[in-house]
Amino acid sequence: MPADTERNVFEMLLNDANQFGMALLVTLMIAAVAIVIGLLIGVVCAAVRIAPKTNIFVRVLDKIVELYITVIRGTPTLLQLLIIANIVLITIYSSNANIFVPMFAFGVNSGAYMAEIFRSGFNSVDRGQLEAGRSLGLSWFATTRTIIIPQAVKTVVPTIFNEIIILVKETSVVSYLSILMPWGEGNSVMQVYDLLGIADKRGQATGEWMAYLITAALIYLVVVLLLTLVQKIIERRFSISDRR
Amino acid sequence: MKKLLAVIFSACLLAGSTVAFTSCGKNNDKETLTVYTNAAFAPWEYMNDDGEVAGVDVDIANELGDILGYNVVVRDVSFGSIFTNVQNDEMAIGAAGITITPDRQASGLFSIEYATSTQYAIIPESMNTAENKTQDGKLLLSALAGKKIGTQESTTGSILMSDAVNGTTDEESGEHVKGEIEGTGASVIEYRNAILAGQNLGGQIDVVVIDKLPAQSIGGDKTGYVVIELDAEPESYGIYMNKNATELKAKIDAALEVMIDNGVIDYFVLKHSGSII
Amino acid sequence: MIDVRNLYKNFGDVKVLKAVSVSIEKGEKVAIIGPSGSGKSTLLRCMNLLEEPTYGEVWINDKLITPVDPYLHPEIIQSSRTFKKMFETRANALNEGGMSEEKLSAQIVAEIKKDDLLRRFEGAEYRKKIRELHAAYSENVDKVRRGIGMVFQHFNLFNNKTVIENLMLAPTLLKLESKEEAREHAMRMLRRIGLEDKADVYPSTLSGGQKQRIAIVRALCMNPEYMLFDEPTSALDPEMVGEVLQLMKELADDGMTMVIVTHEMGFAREVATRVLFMDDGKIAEDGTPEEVFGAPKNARLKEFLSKVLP
Repeated sequence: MPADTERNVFEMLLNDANQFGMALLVTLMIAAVAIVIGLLIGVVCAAVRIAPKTNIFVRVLDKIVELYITVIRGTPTLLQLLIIANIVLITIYSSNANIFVPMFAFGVNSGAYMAEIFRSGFNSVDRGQLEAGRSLGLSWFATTRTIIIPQAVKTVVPTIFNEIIILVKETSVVSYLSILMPWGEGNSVMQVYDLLGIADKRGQATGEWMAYLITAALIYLVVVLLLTLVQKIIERRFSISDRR
Repeated sequence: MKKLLAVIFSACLLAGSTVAFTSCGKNNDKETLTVYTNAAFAPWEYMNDDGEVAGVDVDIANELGDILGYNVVVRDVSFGSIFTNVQNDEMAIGAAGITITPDRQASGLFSIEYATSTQYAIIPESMNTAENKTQDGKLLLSALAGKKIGTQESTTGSILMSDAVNGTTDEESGEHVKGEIEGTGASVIEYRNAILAGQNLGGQIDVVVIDKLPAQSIGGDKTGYVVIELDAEPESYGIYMNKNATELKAKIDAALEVMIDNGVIDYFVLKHSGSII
Repeated sequence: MIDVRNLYKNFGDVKVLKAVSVSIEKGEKVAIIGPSGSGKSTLLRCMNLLEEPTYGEVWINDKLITPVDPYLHPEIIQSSRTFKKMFETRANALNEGGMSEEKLSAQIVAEIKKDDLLRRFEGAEYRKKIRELHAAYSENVDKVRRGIGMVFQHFNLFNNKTVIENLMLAPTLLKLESKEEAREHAMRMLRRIGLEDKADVYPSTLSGGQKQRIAIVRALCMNPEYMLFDEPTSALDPEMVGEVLQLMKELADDGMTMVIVTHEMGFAREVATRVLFMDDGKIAEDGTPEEVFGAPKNARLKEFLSKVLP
């Protein structure tokens, strides 16, 4: 490629910096809300899965949670997003503020994975710890709260961070939907794009598709590297408490 | 499909794969011309009932092959990757109802225009009044002030409406040129295809601006709505080529001229007009 | 009193305990010995319900901690539909004379027990009887466990707590002692075993013998009536076995009621007042150490002793 063309492409990308920034914000916003929803769903579902199956109510709940996890883990995220947008949350999706739809869809998606992470964290704690607590007369709940969960956190936090990183990248399938925000004058709406969405759109409009996609890839990479840094710091803090 | 392929593509690229670009092999007796298209834009290109890529652009490409003596291979790819593929292969062209824009002209060569697209609007009957129309019955752009306008992404209508709502930047001075309905509260919402735009008519959006044929197919049977031609400068479609393919461009321009003069392209349009998205 | 009645425990298809009954009075020091896989640990773990028995009942100080087992209560069997049906069809045996009502009833109860004839639904009266018995005698298991200390083979100290926190956790969480009381109590216990300098370290820094002695005093901090020991020295290096056994011996001398699953025959002989030999899910021999070690009657016990005794 001739030198002047390269400079043109660079200028083109610079001109779109605002749009990329906005798209990054959209991506992070969707991911952040989805993570919160996912954590809530994950904790509740994991609690149901590990709770002693003492009555029929817990057993039925457990089966429902098992089905939910199986379905989510067994189907592609994009399909889940499309089904939630066009069937489950169709009313919200056709409204003027439908950014909630991907937030919910990704939250439901990562909730299943987080439930499994929490559960395996719980199971990673030696069974004897629970038995020791129970043998002292502590209830299942009290033992789980004071003994099991604090120990499970150690194995869970790094894995949860992995899931968060995966989720941030996975939000890119949202470019399949038209996401609207009730912004602008009067009751007008504005279409917003996530990182991949804006790169795809501007790339098609300018004919410099690859340059735009690579730019998006680099931005994702920077975000993920920053998250990894946070993960490292947290992991180090945990290993310090291990050495005590 | 476009976005999904885009995801796969960027993944391939980051993995350091160069295989993705090895698209064209040379044929011994005849040189091969690879034609990239995106079969989601009837009647220009679409999947026919047999699952093959068909359409006006495909017929044009085959005709070009006959005239110029090339072995034509048609590849259906995502719209965005048409540009990437052509930019990496001097014996490849993009024929996909590609609107000629200054940005795109900077990244490659365009043939002469071989077709113009007239944009149509699907509007509620209440908007179909005399003051909203020109004397010859076309819808004025100003009638769309304050409306939520649905389009199909990356099409002429989408680019046209986006410019009218957001304004443009002057090439020479770099100054902002106000769009015709900029600041009126009008907004543009792009959909992946025309059907989705039609579904949201009356909900997310007030009107749809799109090519003539899809407009008729979506709006024709929708009660309370009328299909009307838009009063706007028509946009031109061109064949997209590699920046260095000046020789090829000369040949294709000449061949296209012959085809236009003989009414071949008009015939192709007529032939495919029965096929709606 | 720990009263185990007709206990069965199945793990899937494997029958680990088969109709085990044993009563342990206060003050007794009972050693349970036997080959591995004979059900010793399972029996011990059933005593505080860490393992739930498949059939049978466990009573602690006349409180029932398992569900009611209808086969153990003739009056419940007599209220069942199955019993009533059998009784009716055989009523003519009464008329023809020769058999009293009580005798017939006893005969049917025995038959039902033998052939396991009770089903899931046996009528309202049957259900009511079970519920009444349960209401009258059952006690929340968590509450009962406070009075039964347990020591595990692998210590099971809480890894996320310091030594003193390990000792204080249950008494404070259950509001049996204030924080200050619990701390004082715990320190007293640590001094007793000479480990007061380890109060603020985490268990991972301790030796096996230290861990097990702390696990023992952790149980003692609840002031239990009974102590269950599940192979307390099996996971220890040989040089550390002595200190743990010494502490257990002191405990026995203080009059603690103890049930000990162990491979330490010398210890069983010296400290226990009673020895149970388990074989194939059953108690095969039950007697004083002198009887069991000195004059074994059971052939399997003789074989076992010849292997484990020098």
